[in-house]
Amino acid sequence: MGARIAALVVLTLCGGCATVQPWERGTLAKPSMAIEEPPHQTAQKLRTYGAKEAGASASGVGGGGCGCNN
Amino acid sequence: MALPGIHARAEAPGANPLQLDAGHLEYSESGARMSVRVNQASAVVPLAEAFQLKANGIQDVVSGASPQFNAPGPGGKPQQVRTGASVRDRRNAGDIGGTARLGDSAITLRQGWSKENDYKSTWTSLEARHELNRRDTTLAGGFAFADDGVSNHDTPNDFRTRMKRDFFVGVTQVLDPRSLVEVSLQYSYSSGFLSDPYKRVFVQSGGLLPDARPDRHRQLAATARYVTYLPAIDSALHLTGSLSDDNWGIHSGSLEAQWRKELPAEWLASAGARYYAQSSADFYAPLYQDQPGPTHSSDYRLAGFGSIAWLAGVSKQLTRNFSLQLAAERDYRHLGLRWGGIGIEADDYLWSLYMVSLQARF
Repeated sequence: MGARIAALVVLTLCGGCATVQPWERGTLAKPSMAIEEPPHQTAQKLRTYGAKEAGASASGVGGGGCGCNN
Repeated sequence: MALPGIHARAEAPGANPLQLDAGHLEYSESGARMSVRVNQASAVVPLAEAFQLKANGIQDVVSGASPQFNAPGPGGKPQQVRTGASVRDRRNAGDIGGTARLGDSAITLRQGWSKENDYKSTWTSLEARHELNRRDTTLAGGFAFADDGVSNHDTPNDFRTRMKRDFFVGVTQVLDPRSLVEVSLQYSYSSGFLSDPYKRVFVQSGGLLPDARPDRHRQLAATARYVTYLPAIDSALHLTGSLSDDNWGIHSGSLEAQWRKELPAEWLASAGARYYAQSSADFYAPLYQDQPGPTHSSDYRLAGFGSIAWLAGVSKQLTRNFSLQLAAERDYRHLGLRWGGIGIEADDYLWSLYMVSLQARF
Protein backbone atom coordinates (compact mmCIF):
# COMPACT_ATOMS: atom_id res chain seq x y z
CA MET A 1 0.00 0.00 0.00
CA GLY A 2 2.78 2.40 0.99
CA ALA A 3 4.71 1.65 -2.20
CA ARG A 4 1.60 2.36 -4.26
CA ILE A 5 1.08 5.69 -2.53
CA ALA A 6 4.76 6.59 -3.06
CA ALA A 7 4.56 5.62 -6.74
CA LEU A 8 1.42 7.71 -7.16
CA VAL A 9 3.09 10.69 -5.51
CA VAL A 10 6.15 10.32 -7.75
CA LEU A 11 4.02 10.17 -10.88
CA THR A 12 2.06 13.21 -9.73
CA LEU A 13 5.18 15.19 -8.90
CA CYS A 14 6.99 14.23 -12.06
CA GLY A 15 4.11 15.15 -14.30
CA GLY A 16 5.56 18.57 -15.01
CA CYS A 17 9.25 18.23 -14.26
CA ALA A 18 12.16 17.46 -16.53
CA THR A 19 15.44 15.85 -15.54
CA VAL A 20 17.84 18.36 -14.01
CA GLN A 21 21.33 17.84 -15.39
CA PRO A 22 24.34 17.71 -13.05
CA TRP A 23 25.63 21.05 -14.33
CA GLU A 24 22.27 22.65 -13.49
CA ARG A 25 22.49 21.76 -9.80
CA GLY A 26 24.49 24.76 -8.64
CA THR A 27 21.51 26.45 -7.01
CA LEU A 28 20.23 23.20 -5.49
CA ALA A 29 23.68 22.69 -3.92
CA LYS A 30 23.57 25.99 -2.05
CA PRO A 31 23.65 25.59 1.76
CA SER A 32 20.51 27.70 2.03
CA MET A 33 18.66 25.10 -0.08
CA ALA A 34 19.53 22.13 2.15
CA ILE A 35 16.25 20.46 3.06
CA GLU A 36 17.64 19.30 6.40
CA GLU A 37 18.80 21.43 9.27
CA PRO A 38 21.80 20.18 11.27
CA PRO A 39 20.81 16.69 12.50
CA HIS A 40 20.96 17.54 16.20
CA GLN A 41 18.73 20.55 15.76
CA THR A 42 16.15 18.66 13.73
CA ALA A 43 15.99 15.82 16.27
CA GLN A 44 15.72 18.15 19.26
CA LYS A 45 13.03 20.30 17.67
CA LEU A 46 10.94 17.27 16.76
CA ARG A 47 11.37 15.86 20.25
CA THR A 48 10.23 19.15 21.77
CA TYR A 49 7.15 19.25 19.54
CA GLY A 50 6.46 15.62 20.41
CA ALA A 51 6.60 16.40 24.12
CA LYS A 52 4.37 19.47 23.95
CA GLU A 53 1.88 18.65 21.20
CA ALA A 54 -0.42 15.68 20.63
CA GLY A 55 -0.25 15.90 16.84
CA ALA A 56 2.20 13.98 14.68
CA SER A 57 4.30 14.65 11.61
CA ALA A 58 5.73 12.35 8.97
CA SER A 59 9.36 12.99 9.80
CA GLY A 60 10.91 9.54 9.69
CA VAL A 61 11.36 6.64 12.06
CA GLY A 62 13.74 5.96 14.91
CA GLY A 63 14.16 7.31 18.42
CA GLY A 64 12.60 5.77 21.49
CA GLY A 65 10.04 7.17 23.85
CA CYS A 66 10.90 9.20 26.92
CA GLY A 67 9.38 10.46 30.12
CA CYS A 68 9.16 13.90 28.49
CA ASN A 69 5.85 12.73 27.06
CA ASN A 70 4.57 12.12 30.57
CA MET B 1 15.44 12.48 3.86
CA ALA B 2 18.24 13.84 1.68
CA LEU B 3 19.08 14.00 -1.96
CA PRO B 4 22.74 13.00 -2.09
CA GLY B 5 24.97 15.48 -3.75
CA ILE B 6 22.81 18.53 -3.34
CA HIS B 7 23.80 19.35 0.24
CA ALA B 8 27.55 19.10 -0.04
CA ARG B 9 29.43 22.35 -0.12
CA ALA B 10 32.00 22.72 -2.85
CA GLU B 11 34.88 23.01 -0.41
CA ALA B 12 33.67 20.26 1.93
CA PRO B 13 35.69 17.12 2.57
CA GLY B 14 35.05 13.97 0.53
CA ALA B 15 31.72 12.32 -0.11
CA ASN B 16 32.03 9.92 2.83
CA PRO B 17 33.81 11.90 5.56
CA LEU B 18 34.37 11.22 9.23
CA GLN B 19 31.70 13.32 10.97
CA LEU B 20 31.82 14.48 14.58
CA ASP B 21 29.00 16.59 15.99
CA ALA B 22 28.37 18.04 19.44
CA GLY B 23 25.41 20.07 20.58
CA HIS B 24 23.85 21.73 23.61
CA LEU B 25 20.23 22.76 24.15
CA GLU B 26 18.53 24.92 26.77
CA TYR B 27 14.74 24.68 27.06
CA SER B 28 12.58 26.66 29.47
CA GLU B 29 8.90 27.37 30.06
CA SER B 30 7.25 30.53 31.38
CA GLY B 31 5.93 30.68 34.94
CA ALA B 32 8.97 28.94 36.45
CA ARG B 33 7.81 25.63 35.00
CA MET B 34 9.94 22.93 33.39
CA SER B 35 13.50 23.53 32.19
CA VAL B 36 15.66 21.05 30.29
CA ARG B 37 19.35 20.95 29.47
CA VAL B 38 20.50 18.55 26.77
CA ASN B 39 24.02 17.56 25.75
CA GLN B 40 24.45 15.47 22.63
CA ALA B 41 27.39 14.06 20.69
CA SER B 42 27.46 11.88 17.60
CA ALA B 43 29.92 10.35 15.19
CA VAL B 44 29.68 8.92 11.69
CA VAL B 45 32.69 6.77 10.90
CA PRO B 46 33.27 5.57 7.31
CA LEU B 47 34.52 1.99 7.62
CA ALA B 48 34.54 1.40 3.88
CA GLU B 49 33.53 3.26 0.75
CA ALA B 50 30.03 1.85 1.01
CA PHE B 51 29.59 1.47 4.76
CA GLN B 52 29.25 3.93 7.63
CA LEU B 53 29.03 3.27 11.35
CA LYS B 54 26.96 5.76 13.37
CA ALA B 55 26.86 6.39 17.11
CA ASN B 56 24.92 8.96 19.08
CA GLY B 57 24.77 9.83 22.79
CA ILE B 58 22.40 12.15 24.67
CA GLN B 59 22.08 13.28 28.26
CA ASP B 60 19.08 15.34 29.47
CA VAL B 61 18.58 16.96 32.84
CA VAL B 62 14.99 17.99 33.56
CA SER B 63 13.94 20.14 36.51
CA GLY B 64 11.07 22.35 37.58
CA ALA B 65 7.33 22.13 38.05
CA SER B 66 4.81 20.46 35.76
CA PRO B 67 0.99 20.75 35.58
CA GLN B 68 -0.58 17.81 37.43
CA PHE B 69 -4.33 18.47 37.31
CA ASN B 70 -6.90 21.29 37.22
CA ALA B 71 -8.99 22.38 40.18
CA PRO B 72 -11.89 24.84 40.39
CA GLY B 73 -10.66 28.36 41.11
CA PRO B 74 -12.56 31.56 41.82
CA GLY B 75 -15.93 31.45 40.09
CA GLY B 76 -15.42 27.79 39.26
CA LYS B 77 -12.84 28.62 36.57
CA PRO B 78 -10.30 25.78 36.20
CA GLN B 79 -6.81 26.50 37.47
CA GLN B 80 -3.64 24.45 37.13
CA VAL B 81 -2.23 22.59 40.09
CA ARG B 82 1.44 21.79 39.57
CA THR B 83 3.96 19.40 40.99
CA GLY B 84 6.58 20.83 43.34
CA ALA B 85 9.42 22.74 41.72
CA SER B 86 11.97 20.16 42.82
CA VAL B 87 11.17 17.51 40.21
CA ARG B 88 14.48 16.51 38.72
CA ASP B 89 15.30 13.67 36.40
CA ARG B 90 18.24 12.63 34.29
CA ARG B 91 17.97 10.75 31.00
CA ASN B 92 20.80 8.91 29.32
CA ALA B 93 20.21 7.71 25.77
CA GLY B 94 22.24 6.39 22.91
CA ASP B 95 22.03 4.57 19.64
CA ILE B 96 24.37 2.84 17.25
CA GLY B 97 23.80 1.83 13.67
CA GLY B 98 25.20 1.31 10.25
CA THR B 99 24.43 2.42 6.71
CA ALA B 100 25.29 0.22 3.74
CA ARG B 101 25.16 1.60 0.22
CA LEU B 102 24.38 -0.68 -2.70
CA GLY B 103 24.50 1.27 -5.94
CA ASP B 104 21.67 3.78 -5.87
CA SER B 105 20.24 2.33 -2.67
CA ALA B 106 21.12 2.63 0.99
CA ILE B 107 19.92 0.72 4.03
CA THR B 108 20.31 1.96 7.61
CA LEU B 109 19.80 -0.19 10.70
CA ARG B 110 19.84 1.43 14.15
CA GLN B 111 19.47 0.19 17.69
CA GLY B 112 18.81 2.60 20.55
CA TRP B 113 18.37 2.72 24.31
CA SER B 114 17.09 5.34 26.72
CA LYS B 115 16.97 5.26 30.51
CA GLU B 116 15.48 7.54 33.17
CA ASN B 117 14.46 6.87 36.76
CA ASP B 118 10.87 6.35 35.66
CA TYR B 119 11.14 5.50 31.96
CA LYS B 120 13.16 3.09 29.87
CA SER B 121 13.06 2.48 26.15
CA THR B 122 14.64 0.10 23.69
CA TRP B 123 14.09 0.66 19.99
CA THR B 124 15.12 -0.63 16.59
CA SER B 125 14.69 1.04 13.22
CA LEU B 126 15.28 0.02 9.62
CA GLU B 127 15.30 2.62 6.85
CA ALA B 128 15.88 2.27 3.12
CA ARG B 129 16.46 4.85 0.42
CA HIS B 130 16.62 4.52 -3.33
CA GLU B 131 17.60 7.13 -5.91
CA LEU B 132 16.33 7.09 -9.46
CA ASN B 133 15.71 9.37 -12.40
CA ARG B 134 19.37 10.55 -12.37
CA ARG B 135 19.05 11.37 -8.66
CA ASP B 136 16.18 13.76 -9.24
CA THR B 137 13.98 11.41 -7.23
CA THR B 138 14.63 9.74 -3.88
CA LEU B 139 12.24 7.17 -2.45
CA ALA B 140 12.45 6.39 1.25
CA GLY B 141 10.76 3.95 3.58
CA GLY B 142 11.25 2.87 7.14
CA PHE B 143 9.99 0.88 10.10
CA ALA B 144 10.71 1.27 13.80
CA PHE B 145 9.72 -0.65 16.90
CA ALA B 146 10.02 0.68 20.44
CA ASP B 147 9.53 -1.33 23.63
CA ASP B 148 9.15 1.03 26.58
CA GLY B 149 8.61 0.73 30.32
CA VAL B 150 6.84 3.41 32.37
CA SER B 151 6.92 3.82 36.15
CA ASN B 152 6.80 6.78 38.57
CA HIS B 153 8.78 8.11 41.51
CA ASP B 154 6.47 6.45 44.04
CA THR B 155 6.86 2.97 42.54
CA PRO B 156 10.14 3.22 40.63
CA ASN B 157 10.52 -0.51 40.04
CA ASP B 158 6.97 -1.11 38.82
CA PHE B 159 7.40 -0.65 35.08
CA ARG B 160 4.36 -0.98 32.85
CA THR B 161 4.79 -1.80 29.18
CA ARG B 162 4.22 0.52 26.24
CA MET B 163 5.01 -0.43 22.62
CA LYS B 164 5.13 1.66 19.48
CA ARG B 165 5.49 0.77 15.81
CA ASP B 166 6.18 3.41 13.14
CA PHE B 167 5.85 3.00 9.37
CA PHE B 168 7.19 5.69 7.04
CA VAL B 169 7.23 6.29 3.28
CA GLY B 170 8.40 9.40 1.47
CA VAL B 171 9.58 10.81 -1.81
CA THR B 172 11.82 13.78 -2.58
CA GLN B 173 11.61 15.19 -6.10
CA VAL B 174 13.72 17.86 -7.79
CA LEU B 175 11.21 19.94 -9.72
CA ASP B 176 13.60 22.20 -11.63
CA PRO B 177 17.11 23.66 -11.19
CA ARG B 178 15.97 25.75 -8.24
CA SER B 179 13.16 23.96 -6.43
CA LEU B 180 12.34 20.61 -4.90
CA VAL B 181 9.53 19.02 -2.96
CA GLU B 182 9.29 16.25 -0.38
CA VAL B 183 6.10 14.39 0.55
CA SER B 184 5.96 11.86 3.42
CA LEU B 185 3.40 9.68 5.15
CA GLN B 186 3.73 8.08 8.56
CA TYR B 187 1.54 5.67 10.49
CA SER B 188 2.17 4.99 14.17
CA TYR B 189 0.51 2.40 16.38
CA SER B 190 1.04 2.43 20.14
CA SER B 191 -0.34 -0.06 22.62
CA GLY B 192 -0.10 -0.81 26.32
CA PHE B 193 0.00 1.65 29.20
CA LEU B 194 -0.34 5.02 27.43
CA SER B 195 -1.49 7.07 30.42
CA ASP B 196 0.67 9.59 32.26
CA PRO B 197 1.51 8.24 35.73
CA TYR B 198 1.92 11.75 37.15
CA LYS B 199 -1.30 13.30 35.88
CA ARG B 200 -4.64 13.35 37.72
CA VAL B 201 -8.17 14.47 36.92
CA PHE B 202 -10.37 16.38 39.35
CA VAL B 203 -13.89 15.02 39.81
CA GLN B 204 -16.13 17.56 41.56
CA SER B 205 -18.21 14.83 43.18
CA GLY B 206 -15.36 12.54 44.14
CA GLY B 207 -11.86 14.04 44.29
CA LEU B 208 -8.85 12.95 42.23
CA LEU B 209 -8.49 10.02 39.84
CA PRO B 210 -5.41 8.86 37.94
CA ASP B 211 -5.06 9.83 34.27
CA ALA B 212 -6.52 6.98 32.16
CA ARG B 213 -6.15 6.87 28.37
CA PRO B 214 -7.15 4.22 25.83
CA ASP B 215 -4.59 1.44 25.51
CA ARG B 216 -4.48 1.73 21.73
CA HIS B 217 -3.32 4.81 19.81
CA ARG B 218 -3.25 5.00 16.02
CA GLN B 219 -1.87 8.12 14.34
CA LEU B 220 -1.63 8.97 10.64
CA ALA B 221 0.42 11.96 9.52
CA ALA B 222 1.31 13.57 6.20
CA THR B 223 4.07 16.14 5.75
CA ALA B 224 5.01 18.14 2.65
CA ARG B 225 8.02 20.40 2.19
CA TYR B 226 8.69 22.78 -0.65
CA VAL B 227 12.07 24.46 -1.07
CA THR B 228 12.68 27.08 -3.71
CA TYR B 229 15.33 29.65 -4.51
CA LEU B 230 14.18 33.22 -5.09
CA PRO B 231 16.75 35.04 -7.27
CA ALA B 232 15.14 38.45 -6.68
CA ILE B 233 16.17 38.37 -3.02
CA ASP B 234 19.02 35.85 -3.40
CA SER B 235 17.43 33.67 -0.72
CA ALA B 236 15.80 30.28 -0.25
CA LEU B 237 12.24 29.81 0.95
CA HIS B 238 11.33 26.64 2.90
CA LEU B 239 7.66 25.81 3.41
CA THR B 240 6.62 22.81 5.54
CA GLY B 241 3.07 21.69 6.21
CA SER B 242 1.79 18.73 8.24
CA LEU B 243 -1.60 17.21 8.97
CA SER B 244 -2.35 14.40 11.39
CA ASP B 245 -5.35 12.49 12.70
CA ASP B 246 -5.76 9.78 15.34
CA ASN B 247 -8.27 7.47 16.96
CA TRP B 248 -8.37 9.63 20.12
CA GLY B 249 -10.21 12.34 18.19
CA ILE B 250 -7.21 14.65 17.90
CA HIS B 251 -6.56 16.26 14.55
CA SER B 252 -3.71 18.67 14.10
CA GLY B 253 -2.02 20.81 11.50
CA SER B 254 1.11 22.90 11.25
CA LEU B 255 2.61 25.29 8.75
CA GLU B 256 6.17 26.57 8.89
CA ALA B 257 7.84 29.13 6.64
CA GLN B 258 11.57 29.80 6.74
CA TRP B 259 13.70 32.27 4.86
CA ARG B 260 17.40 31.43 4.52
CA LYS B 261 20.05 33.70 3.12
CA GLU B 262 23.73 33.19 2.55
CA LEU B 263 25.91 36.08 3.64
CA PRO B 264 29.56 36.93 2.96
CA ALA B 265 32.30 35.03 4.82
CA GLU B 266 30.25 31.81 4.74
CA TRP B 267 27.54 32.90 7.13
CA LEU B 268 24.02 31.58 6.70
CA ALA B 269 21.09 33.35 8.38
CA SER B 270 17.58 32.01 8.77
CA ALA B 271 14.32 33.33 10.17
CA GLY B 272 10.83 31.95 10.15
CA ALA B 273 7.51 31.31 11.81
CA ARG B 274 5.48 28.21 12.67
CA TYR B 275 1.76 27.90 13.27
CA TYR B 276 0.36 24.81 14.99
CA ALA B 277 -3.20 23.89 15.99
CA GLN B 278 -4.90 20.81 17.39
CA SER B 279 -8.32 19.72 18.63
CA SER B 280 -8.88 18.08 22.00
CA ALA B 281 -9.05 14.35 22.63
CA ASP B 282 -12.53 12.84 22.85
CA PHE B 283 -11.95 11.86 26.48
CA TYR B 284 -10.36 15.16 27.57
CA ALA B 285 -12.03 17.54 30.01
CA PRO B 286 -10.48 20.28 32.16
CA LEU B 287 -12.72 19.21 35.08
CA TYR B 288 -15.21 16.37 35.52
CA GLN B 289 -18.54 17.07 37.24
CA ASP B 290 -19.36 13.40 37.88
CA GLN B 291 -17.48 10.13 37.80
CA PRO B 292 -16.03 9.91 34.27
CA GLY B 293 -15.94 6.89 31.98
CA PRO B 294 -13.02 4.45 31.85
CA THR B 295 -10.87 6.88 29.84
CA HIS B 296 -10.31 10.42 31.09
CA SER B 297 -7.54 13.00 31.09
CA SER B 298 -7.02 16.68 31.87
CA ASP B 299 -3.50 16.72 30.39
CA TYR B 300 -2.97 20.16 28.86
CA ARG B 301 -1.34 18.49 25.84
CA LEU B 302 -4.58 16.67 25.00
CA ALA B 303 -6.60 19.92 25.10
CA GLY B 304 -7.54 21.99 22.08
CA PHE B 305 -4.97 24.73 21.52
CA GLY B 306 -2.82 26.45 18.96
CA SER B 307 0.53 28.16 18.97
CA ILE B 308 2.65 30.62 17.07
CA ALA B 309 6.43 30.26 17.13
CA TRP B 310 9.27 32.45 15.94
CA LEU B 311 12.46 30.80 14.72
CA ALA B 312 15.88 32.24 14.01
CA GLY B 313 19.34 30.86 13.42
CA VAL B 314 22.80 31.48 12.05
CA SER B 315 25.52 29.13 10.95
CA LYS B 316 29.13 29.81 10.10
CA GLN B 317 31.65 27.71 8.23
CA LEU B 318 34.61 28.36 10.53
CA THR B 319 37.24 26.48 8.56
CA ARG B 320 37.27 23.85 5.85
CA ASN B 321 36.50 21.22 8.50
CA PHE B 322 34.48 22.98 11.19
CA SER B 323 31.11 24.72 11.25
CA LEU B 324 29.04 26.26 14.05
CA GLN B 325 25.25 26.59 14.28
CA LEU B 326 23.10 28.66 16.63
CA ALA B 327 19.32 28.46 16.67
CA ALA B 328 16.49 29.81 18.79
CA GLU B 329 12.76 29.26 18.90
CA ARG B 330 10.04 30.84 21.03
CA ASP B 331 6.57 29.30 21.03
CA TYR B 332 3.41 31.02 22.30
CA ARG B 333 0.55 28.65 23.12
CA HIS B 334 -2.94 30.16 23.00
CA LEU B 335 -6.37 28.63 23.56
CA GLY B 336 -7.93 30.91 20.93
CA LEU B 337 -5.83 29.35 18.16
CA ARG B 338 -7.16 25.81 18.72
CA TRP B 339 -8.53 23.60 15.96
CA GLY B 340 -11.86 22.85 17.65
CA GLY B 341 -12.57 21.02 20.86
CA ILE B 342 -12.13 22.38 24.37
CA GLY B 343 -9.32 23.75 26.49
CA ILE B 344 -8.67 26.34 29.19
CA GLU B 345 -6.86 29.66 29.24
CA ALA B 346 -4.93 28.58 32.34
CA ASP B 347 -2.91 26.23 30.09
CA ASP B 348 -1.57 29.09 27.93
CA TYR B 349 2.18 29.56 28.31
CA LEU B 350 5.31 30.05 26.24
CA TRP B 351 8.46 28.04 25.86
CA SER B 352 11.88 28.96 24.54
CA LEU B 353 14.56 26.84 22.98
CA TYR B 354 18.21 27.73 22.37
CA MET B 355 20.59 25.39 20.59
CA VAL B 356 24.26 25.49 19.70
CA SER B 357 26.07 22.80 17.75
CA LEU B 358 29.52 22.28 16.34
CA GLN B 359 30.16 20.05 13.34
CA ALA B 360 33.46 18.63 12.16
CA ARG B 361 34.08 16.88 8.84
CA PHE B 362 37.37 15.21 7.90
